[in-house]
Amino acid sequence: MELNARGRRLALTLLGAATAAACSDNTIFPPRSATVVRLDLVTPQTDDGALVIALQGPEVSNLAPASPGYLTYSRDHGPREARIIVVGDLKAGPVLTLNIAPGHQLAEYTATIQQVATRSDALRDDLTGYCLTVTAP
Amino acid sequence: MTSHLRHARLAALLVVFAGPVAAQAGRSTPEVEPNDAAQTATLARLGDTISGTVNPFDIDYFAVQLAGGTPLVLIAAPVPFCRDFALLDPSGNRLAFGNCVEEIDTLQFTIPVTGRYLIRVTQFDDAPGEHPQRPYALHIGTNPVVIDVARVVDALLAGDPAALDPALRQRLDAYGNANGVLDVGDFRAYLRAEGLLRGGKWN
Repeated sequence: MELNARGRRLALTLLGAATAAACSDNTIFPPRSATVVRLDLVTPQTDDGALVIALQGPEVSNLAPASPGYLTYSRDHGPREARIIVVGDLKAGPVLTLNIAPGHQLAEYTATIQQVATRSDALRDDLTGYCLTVTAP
Repeated sequence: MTSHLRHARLAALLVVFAGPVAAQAGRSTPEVEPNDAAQTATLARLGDTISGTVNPFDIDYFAVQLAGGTPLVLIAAPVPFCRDFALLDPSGNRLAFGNCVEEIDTLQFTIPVTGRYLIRVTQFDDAPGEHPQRPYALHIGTNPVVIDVARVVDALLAGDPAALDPALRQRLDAYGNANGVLDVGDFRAYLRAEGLLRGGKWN
């Protein structure tokens, strides 16, 4: 009986430690359910009108525009890459949401910008200052 | 053109002119004086709604780069005066003409070769007395030709525009910067020109 009580205390202690570690560092405890991930645009401009994005990482699903004002198209480009067009009066901040499958970590995903066009349809030559951040909100 | 179709096109034009939709369907391009000659024409693009004012002594020119094969449609907004408008080829030859006497408000013409085409607007009024400036507006659009957007997206995202038919590639490029390379700006220009730039879709 006394042994059982000690065992329960030990189990609770381990569970508490695991939860704390999972909240602070998912490289130790990958999520067991699909995680919603957001792609945020960092841009030095205020008149972006279209993007081509390459998203690399395994088992991505449920890609969706982050704004009802954005029009989006996507295609798989191999097993670990999706390419996406986002069109609209784009602003800095969220552009896409998606799910990553259980067992994967945020660090496995990278998003890069391949093309940017202005709202007057001109392709930008210089993409300095542009990037996408991948976060789990 | 039948009266029914004409009324439908005018209704579409009025929608294009109507505030929030106009911003998505195409930009508004007012004339920039002096635009009384082909050489000083105000630059416009496919999908634009051009506008200005004319009196009987004024001629307004707009220039627009068009790809061969484009099924161009010019739609003039109704006006309470005698307004004539014409489409001219890059050499200045008249290809199509809309006049107030016959109440022609829409011109349809398939562009034969890629080039800088002109739209000329005049006011015909031989009444004596004052000749005030009268406002006008025209929409530069296309017939709703089916373009396989999925194929265009495939090619763009595969980084392989050469997979598209050259004529289609040229036409899409002409919607945008017409630099001979198909890019996301051209694709956006096509969506805008065809009134497809609406949010909330996932394809």
